[in-house]
Amino acid sequence: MSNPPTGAAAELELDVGRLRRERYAKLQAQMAADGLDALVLLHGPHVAYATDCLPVAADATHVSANRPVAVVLADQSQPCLLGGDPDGLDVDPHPAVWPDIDEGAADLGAQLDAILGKTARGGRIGIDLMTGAMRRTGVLSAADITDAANTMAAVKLHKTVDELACIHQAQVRTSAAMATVQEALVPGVRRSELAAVFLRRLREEGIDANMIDVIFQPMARRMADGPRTTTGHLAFPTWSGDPVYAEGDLIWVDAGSDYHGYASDFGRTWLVGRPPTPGEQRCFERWLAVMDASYEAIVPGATFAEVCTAATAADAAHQPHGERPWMPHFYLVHGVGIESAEMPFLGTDNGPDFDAANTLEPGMVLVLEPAIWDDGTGGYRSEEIVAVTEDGWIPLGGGHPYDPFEVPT
Amino acid sequence: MSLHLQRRARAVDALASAGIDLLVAGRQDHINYITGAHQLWTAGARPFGPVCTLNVATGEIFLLSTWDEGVPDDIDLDHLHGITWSGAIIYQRLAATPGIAAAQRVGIDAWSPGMAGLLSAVAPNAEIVPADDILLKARRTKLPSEVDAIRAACAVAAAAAAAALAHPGTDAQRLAAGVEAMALAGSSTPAAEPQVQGPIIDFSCIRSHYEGGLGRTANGAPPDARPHAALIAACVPGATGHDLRLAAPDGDWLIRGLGMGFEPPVINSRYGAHETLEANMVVSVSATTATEYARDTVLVTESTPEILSPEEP
Repeated sequence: MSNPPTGAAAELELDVGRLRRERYAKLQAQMAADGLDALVLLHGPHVAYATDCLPVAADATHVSANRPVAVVLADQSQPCLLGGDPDGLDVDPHPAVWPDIDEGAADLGAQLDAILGKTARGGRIGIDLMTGAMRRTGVLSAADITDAANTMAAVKLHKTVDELACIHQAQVRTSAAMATVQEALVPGVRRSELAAVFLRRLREEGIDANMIDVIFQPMARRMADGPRTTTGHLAFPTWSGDPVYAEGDLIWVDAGSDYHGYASDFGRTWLVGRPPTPGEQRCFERWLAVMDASYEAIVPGATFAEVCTAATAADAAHQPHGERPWMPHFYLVHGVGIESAEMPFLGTDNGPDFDAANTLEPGMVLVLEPAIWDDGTGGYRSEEIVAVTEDGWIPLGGGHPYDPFEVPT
Repeated sequence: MSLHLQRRARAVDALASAGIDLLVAGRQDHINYITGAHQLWTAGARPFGPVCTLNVATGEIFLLSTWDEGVPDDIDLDHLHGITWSGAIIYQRLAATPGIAAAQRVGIDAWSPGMAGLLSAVAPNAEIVPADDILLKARRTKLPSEVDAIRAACAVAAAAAAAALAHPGTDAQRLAAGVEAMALAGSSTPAAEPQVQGPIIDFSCIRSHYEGGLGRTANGAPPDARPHAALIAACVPGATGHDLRLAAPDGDWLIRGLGMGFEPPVINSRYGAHETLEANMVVSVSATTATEYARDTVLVTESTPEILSPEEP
């Protein structure tokens, strides 16, 4: 049985210049492969990928109101950045636009026509999003438009060494903040108090981008006592107001924050004010067995299905109905990077054919999040992040203890 | 009638007046406005996807949510779609939405080439039109309960501002103290990014779907001499963007709508000259002079504007 993996990733050192150069080269190569003359990007993480202008961790309405826009032209040595803060970036800066309002969208259209030149009239342009205002004002209406999603998905799938370093840093710092939060989890404390500690500690760890309203969800011990679901299974992670925690409560924790535009994903199971019961500890040990089997199966060339099969086999003795040891609305594994959940996805409702047709490759980042549930007792869920290498995997972040559960020796 | 049903009725009226048969919404603020559902807050704007559909004639709603936690009772479990990772399932669900196949006009609140293709396939007879402006126009004037919610959110942001102003540490420490105080006061989700730069601070939050916020300068002028005082006084029914420009101080300033987050109108030295303020609109009013920055959340009334954010700090 395994302690949380630690080690190799400590050697990852972020080189911002190299991060920018390598991503931009990948983007140019993928545009050539996809036959694109230009990319016009409005989705924050995409803009960050192209320009290193980092997304703002604010409400969606604020982020979209005066969001920066990136334009990448084939064979140009640097991207154009409309708005945002170009200070210190290797970009061709242009004035800010407000793409959500009609006057701003018209400004954006004029700027795009000037930047793109004749590409705006008949060139092939990948775009990831248009606002209603851009549609109303006819932005790029004379261009041959295609979706940028596939181009961005292709470049994101395999991480560069600096992308791995960012994810590692995000995870290490999120974990450090969570260590303080767990100390504050005592009977009578409220969810808002834990959130307050977490948000302060994140900033003290040098992270100013909290990406999800942090989840400390008290789990009903029987699914029938929890929210109703479309799957007939667990409801997690839900909005849960501001509960007060009592001794013995089972808390599933989930958090994600950004370091230099790359997401962490912290998941743990905590208990309030007491050690686990034997039944709770057994759930944890089943979870460890699933993790061990998954780690074993993660090698380049393995199909997604092979990893899912190994994880399922490790818990089969406890699953009389053949259920898989993860929540049916989620997955055994999701990727993480500029998005908190991105390809690769293993064990989703894309189905067995999808899992059989896709294979692990070096540079993919995997967040393992199996979940064990024993209805009436409760369950165990944590998350660990690994990066696939040429000959196996290395942990990112890692080393955060499973307290108050004990890893058997 | 509960607040979310009052809001939904406004949205339905506006969509019906625009001849829209079916709305396919992906923006969380529009979804919150129509459904009243409490869903997990995530930072940043998402790509466009079909999270919620509203049949304008029947009022029938389908919402992307794997569970009924946080979902008002008027949307049954059989009208919830669980989260999916499959494009095929998204297609099947949309295609099965009652009324979509025959719809003449489908409204969307954002657009992508991929989603446009999908919608054309499931609504072959329909014109696919942007409806974000229709919804935002319906949202412009606030119901009394909305004003109460905004006032409550302002109090939470004020607690953050007070903590940051009182903290003796570095800007980063003061910012951390402000964010911590905001969570304790009732919101762990920012509206805009919080700001602490020397004497200047600005905090805002989303609390129970609604925004509140304010900005201050430490040891600044009394309220009636703050940089945005004349702008606030000019926020009366019938005031146009042009009128507001005349009331603006030298330096940067912005008046913009505020409700379930950032909303139109946007009025500054560049945009919004043609906009007109109406009673019951709520706006964020901010201005910067050489020495001072201030921002408040302001309700436009039939008489004098009412400042919803606390005077102190």
